[in-house]
Amino acid sequence: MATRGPPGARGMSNRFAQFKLVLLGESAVGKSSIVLRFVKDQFDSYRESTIGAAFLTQTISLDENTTVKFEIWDTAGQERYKSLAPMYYRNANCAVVVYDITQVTSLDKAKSWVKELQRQANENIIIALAGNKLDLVTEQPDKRAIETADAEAYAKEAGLLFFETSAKTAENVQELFTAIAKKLPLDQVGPRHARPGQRPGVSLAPEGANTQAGGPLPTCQGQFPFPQLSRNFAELFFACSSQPSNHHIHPSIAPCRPPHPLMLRTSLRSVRALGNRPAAAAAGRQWQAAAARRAVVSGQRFYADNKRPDEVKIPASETLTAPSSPAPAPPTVEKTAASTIPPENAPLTPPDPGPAVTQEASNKVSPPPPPPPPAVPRKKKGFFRRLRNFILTLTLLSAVGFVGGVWYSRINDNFHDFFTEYVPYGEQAVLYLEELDFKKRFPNVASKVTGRQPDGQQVKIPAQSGASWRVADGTEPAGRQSSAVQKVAAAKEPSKKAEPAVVAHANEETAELPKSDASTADPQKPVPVPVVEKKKADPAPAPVPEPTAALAAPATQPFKAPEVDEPSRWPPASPIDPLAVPDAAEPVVQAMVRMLNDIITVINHDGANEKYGATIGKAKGEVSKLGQKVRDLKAAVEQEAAQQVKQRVDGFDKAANELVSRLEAAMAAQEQQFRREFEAEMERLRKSYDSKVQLIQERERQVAEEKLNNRLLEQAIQLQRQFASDIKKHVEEEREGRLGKLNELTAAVADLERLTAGWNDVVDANLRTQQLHVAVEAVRASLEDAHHPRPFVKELVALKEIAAQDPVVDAAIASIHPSAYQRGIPTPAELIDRFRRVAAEVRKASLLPEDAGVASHASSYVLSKVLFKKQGLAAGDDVESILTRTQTFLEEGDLDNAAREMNGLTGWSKTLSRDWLDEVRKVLEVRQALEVIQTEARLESLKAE
Amino acid sequence: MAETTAPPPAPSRAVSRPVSEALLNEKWDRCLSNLIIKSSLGLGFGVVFSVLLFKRRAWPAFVGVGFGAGRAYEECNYSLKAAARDIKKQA
Repeated sequence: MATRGPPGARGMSNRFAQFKLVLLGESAVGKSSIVLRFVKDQFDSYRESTIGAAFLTQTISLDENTTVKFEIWDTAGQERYKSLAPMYYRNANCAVVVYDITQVTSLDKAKSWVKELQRQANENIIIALAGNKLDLVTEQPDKRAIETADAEAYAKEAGLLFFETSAKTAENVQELFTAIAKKLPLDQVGPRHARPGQRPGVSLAPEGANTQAGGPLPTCQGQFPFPQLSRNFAELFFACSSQPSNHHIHPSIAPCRPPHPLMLRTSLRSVRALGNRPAAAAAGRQWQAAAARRAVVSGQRFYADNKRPDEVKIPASETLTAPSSPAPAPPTVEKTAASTIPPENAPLTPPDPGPAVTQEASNKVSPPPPPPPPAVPRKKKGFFRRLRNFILTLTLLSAVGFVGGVWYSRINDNFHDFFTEYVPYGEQAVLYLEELDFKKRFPNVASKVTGRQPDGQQVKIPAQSGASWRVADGTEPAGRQSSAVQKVAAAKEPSKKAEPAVVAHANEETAELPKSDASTADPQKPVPVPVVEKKKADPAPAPVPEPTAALAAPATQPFKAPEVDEPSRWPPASPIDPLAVPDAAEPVVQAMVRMLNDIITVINHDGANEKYGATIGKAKGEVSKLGQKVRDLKAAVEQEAAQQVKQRVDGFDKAANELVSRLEAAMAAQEQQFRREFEAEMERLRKSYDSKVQLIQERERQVAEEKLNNRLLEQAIQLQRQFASDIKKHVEEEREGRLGKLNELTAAVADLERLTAGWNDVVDANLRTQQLHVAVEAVRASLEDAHHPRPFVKELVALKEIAAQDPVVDAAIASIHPSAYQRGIPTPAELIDRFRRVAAEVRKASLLPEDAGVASHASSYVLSKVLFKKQGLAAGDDVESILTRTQTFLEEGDLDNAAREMNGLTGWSKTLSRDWLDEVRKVLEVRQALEVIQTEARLESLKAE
Repeated sequence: MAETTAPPPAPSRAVSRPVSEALLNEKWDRCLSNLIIKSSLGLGFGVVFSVLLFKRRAWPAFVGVGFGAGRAYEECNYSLKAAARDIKKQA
């Protein structure tokens, strides 16, 4: 650490700077989003609102040699966090004030932020105005609430950088920060501080690690947790402690206040660079470690500058605590105080008494060093001694306090007011001191004023002529110029007579003090007043012999005055006084007076006063008499004029009265006439209106009657019409009835005609039915002739042809089973023969149960042998009875009933007799079909008939 | 058995299918033939068993006939019942 050279060795080309950047703006305008976009290149649509503030850093490189690191403080926009904002923007190098271009209020808020920043933040802060949410507007242009031009105009007016950004699309975000970085005072960082930058504690980490942590430890920055306090204390404290190594410490302190001449010994550049980032800000963070490291670094910086590494420890050890270093303080305090304080109020401090006073002041202001001086050197027993000591100390302290107060009141105006108002004798003391001071500053003035005072018998003049400038300034100026005339007018009362001597004195003074501006102006002015006064009072003045010596001066000096306006008032003070006439308004008199005054001046100048005194006096009397006469004349004329005027006014009044009365009479007459005319007119109008109303009523009545008549007529017409239509309807009905009967007759005739026409068809149909009959008979014959079954297809075909699409015949033929006419049908004999065989089998199975097995069959077969035979139409549902009845029917030839009986069998019996039943059915079907065809044929023939 | 095999002169008239009144008789015919075959088979087995295993005793032969006859009876019974079931189903 001790051997380090200038760190700019490698940084000649590389610049690195750190800047504190703070984001401000209304809630939910997108501050955090902008930061997130800038630092991480991300975007979060649903971002929670920031609490307090967020801290992020981002490094960007402007060009290949310049790197800028932003320490970004992203503050919370919500109103409740507003009070925290100053903490974040204090000492910020740059600020981004964000508003939402879709909300008008956000810009107002941004403006207030800008105002606050400009008022309260760092003077050189760079402010950028960013209108966020540009993406919303590009999507929907109608959402825009703040025009770009407006915001830009405002930004230009307030000297801000301006961008419209979109954190969502990253538009202009990078450009915003780059623009800020470019505008930042990078040059002040300089290659010398390339690496250390503005907060070397961070960037110099390795070096900090090398140096022992316990080295020249905490400097002032680490010790003051509150920036504001630390600023004040640091000032004082370093005023006290940094005497030997002034320039070692001040760079870290310098930012706290205007650079002190003494401290400017180090490079101004470094100071300025640090100015951007004052130590107090770092102290505000209360990072001890960082502070410690910074202390080291700040030390280094000076070694680099001054190459005196061994002195580093002194400030650090001194700065540890105030009370711990009492002894060495006083001398340094004196000197530094003397040297540190003047810059704050240099112009006011008096040069000579300064040291003493400021010493006291510094003692008073900086509490740490206890008052060194008298205190109690020796202690003696005894109550009185202690009391005396106490009183002594008290007195001393109060004296010191008083003196300090007096001193400070000369420096601070506020304190001056307080001190003079509340501290007894404070005002006197301060005034005295000020007077003293003034005297010291203008020694010659003071001597003149004071020197003359004893000589003059009259004390009034010094008060006016400005031994104290305060008084003189306050009173005179207003009345100075204008009062002369008024005084001349009012000069008649002989109040101040005995002035001449004083006048002389004053003139002398004015001659002698032409340079002292404040005091000389005043004495000069009051002079003429007494002179003029004296002129009226006593024209035979005493002063004639007196001011011989002084004559030359007044003669030369006041000659400037007469040119101004009133010559009568400006003649020089002389033994023969110039003339003044009370009302020298007339130019004639004025000219006379001026002439006379000129003569008097000449005489005075020549010193021939004694010679011409009497003559001049007479001339004066004449002139004044002339003035008087002129005045009298004027008065007389005025009186006459007034009388004339009065007469004229009277005459005019009379004439006016007369005129007025005449006019009134005329007006009354006219009014009466008007009224009469008006009434007549009214009467006429009323009559005409009445007649008109009557006419209208008449007309209305006529109209109503006509209306009634019309309605009656309409009713009559309607009735007639109805009657006509009724008659017409009756006639129509009558006609309709007869015509209807005629129609019926014609229809009947047509039917008859149709019947006669149909007879031909009947004859034809009859023929066809005849043929049908024949065919059916043929079929029946073929069936009955056969002794054994024989096909009868041919006969059926013939029948069908004859029937000629007769639906009934077709249906009957279709109902015959095809096997019947192809094979023929069995004869009744055959059917009976077969029935016998079937009956034998059925009898064997007649006793079978439902679910019969071998045993059932066997037993049924056996038992059927012993069953009783029945005869005739046996009653009963058993198989034997059915068989017997069937046989009987068969023998009778009743096939139909036989088949019906056999159909009543169930189970095995039915199964066994199934074929026989089919045969019977076929026969029956054929028979039925034939019967149907025959009936049809008969029907046809009947129809034909 | 002989009595049952006395069927009336079948009226088969050049038709392959038996006429309805011959249905039962036909079943009886089958049963009887079946009975003979099964019984004789049983008898045969019984005789063989009797000769081979039972020192020519008579009872194995009877048992064999019994098995055969029993089998035949069962089959006949089954066919008759099946026919009865068909009839019932048709009804």
